[in-house]
Amino acid sequence: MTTNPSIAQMTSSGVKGLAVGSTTGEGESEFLWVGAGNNCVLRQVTPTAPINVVVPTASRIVNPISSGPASCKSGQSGWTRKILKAVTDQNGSDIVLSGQLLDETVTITTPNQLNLVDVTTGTAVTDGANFTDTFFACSAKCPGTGQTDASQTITDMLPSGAGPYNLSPNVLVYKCSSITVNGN
Amino acid sequence: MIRYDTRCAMRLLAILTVVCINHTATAQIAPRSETNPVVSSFSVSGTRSIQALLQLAQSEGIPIGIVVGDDQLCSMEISYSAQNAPALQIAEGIISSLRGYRVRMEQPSQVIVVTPVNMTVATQEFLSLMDDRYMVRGNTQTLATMLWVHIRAILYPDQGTAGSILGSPDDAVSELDLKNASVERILNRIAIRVKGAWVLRPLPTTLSNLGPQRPFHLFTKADGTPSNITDLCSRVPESGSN
Repeated sequence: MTTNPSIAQMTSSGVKGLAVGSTTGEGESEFLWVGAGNNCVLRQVTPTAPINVVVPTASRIVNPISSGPASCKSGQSGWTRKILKAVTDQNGSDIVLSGQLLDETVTITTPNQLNLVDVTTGTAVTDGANFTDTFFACSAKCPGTGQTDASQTITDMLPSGAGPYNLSPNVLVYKCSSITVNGN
Repeated sequence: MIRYDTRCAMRLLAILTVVCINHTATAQIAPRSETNPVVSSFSVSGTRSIQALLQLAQSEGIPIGIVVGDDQLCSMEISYSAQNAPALQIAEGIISSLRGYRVRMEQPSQVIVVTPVNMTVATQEFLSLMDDRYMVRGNTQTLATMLWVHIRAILYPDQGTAGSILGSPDDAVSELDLKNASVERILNRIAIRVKGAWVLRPLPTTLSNLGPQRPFHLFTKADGTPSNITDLCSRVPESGSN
């Protein structure tokens, strides 16, 4: 059992998270304790352990991998940037769980001075908490000083099948010689 | 003695010549066997034709291109098995029950390409689009996406394209640098590099207003079975249509 069954339920087969938060799990166990003179005594113990139910909430930049001019078709030019990211929980801690299936939608907002008509997206499977995101923009407006803003929402499906969870949206800013995520 | 040595030298030269000819012949045959390998065992039962072709590409690492002309590839289920058969023969067997499709081994890439016998003008134009320089390094998604970016730049040079390609840290990274290559040639080279298949969906009647959705897909062993295989046979929508 747990001290707060609305957060997690505990059975003999495992623990099931029901809501975000923390609680304490209690278990009961009996074992034979061999005492002095080979007297077997049945002892009962009640171990406890903290249970934290976390949910995929956001993503963070772990570190940049590369950046430079994009491999655009002649007549267009632009920028590309690859970063290593991690899925985080409601407390900002990495969710170190391989096999999370990530998908995304990216919507172009304003301004759209690079005249971008589409943002191609991809999917990923995490290695631990980590995944990569490769951004690029190719535009006939480059080189130049314009920028295009976009909103990125990543969804996370856990290996157990739970989800998908919408991670906090990120603000993308595409320029001819830089690409930032939430200003970074 | 001098005459004997000369004869010996000539015999030796003749032997070497034969050895060289044999070696040359072997060298010419070897690439064919590498790109049209004999598959020890292949079997599908009640499987959609396109899925069977993808299975051949994905499980055996055989580069295959598929031009979808209609719904047959996605709707017709086949049962087929072969033992110790060349990959091209297996592909021919898979599509043998389809009407209006053919399979060929593209030269010089030696990619197995399945196409409708009568390809639409738009599809022919699409595959014939020329890219003056395709120089891309990245995972499979990146290779495909950047090709689409180049195609859009050829068709609609005033429209920009951006990307956010999620990937896994341990994704295999490939690099291609092709000059003055057609879209079909680039797709074939990508298929060879990633040991997988490309699939081009049916296109609208013209290329003047293609939607933003990439009309071709790449499949490698790592991708597994496509989740919604019938989408591969649906016509690519034009921009602005639902």
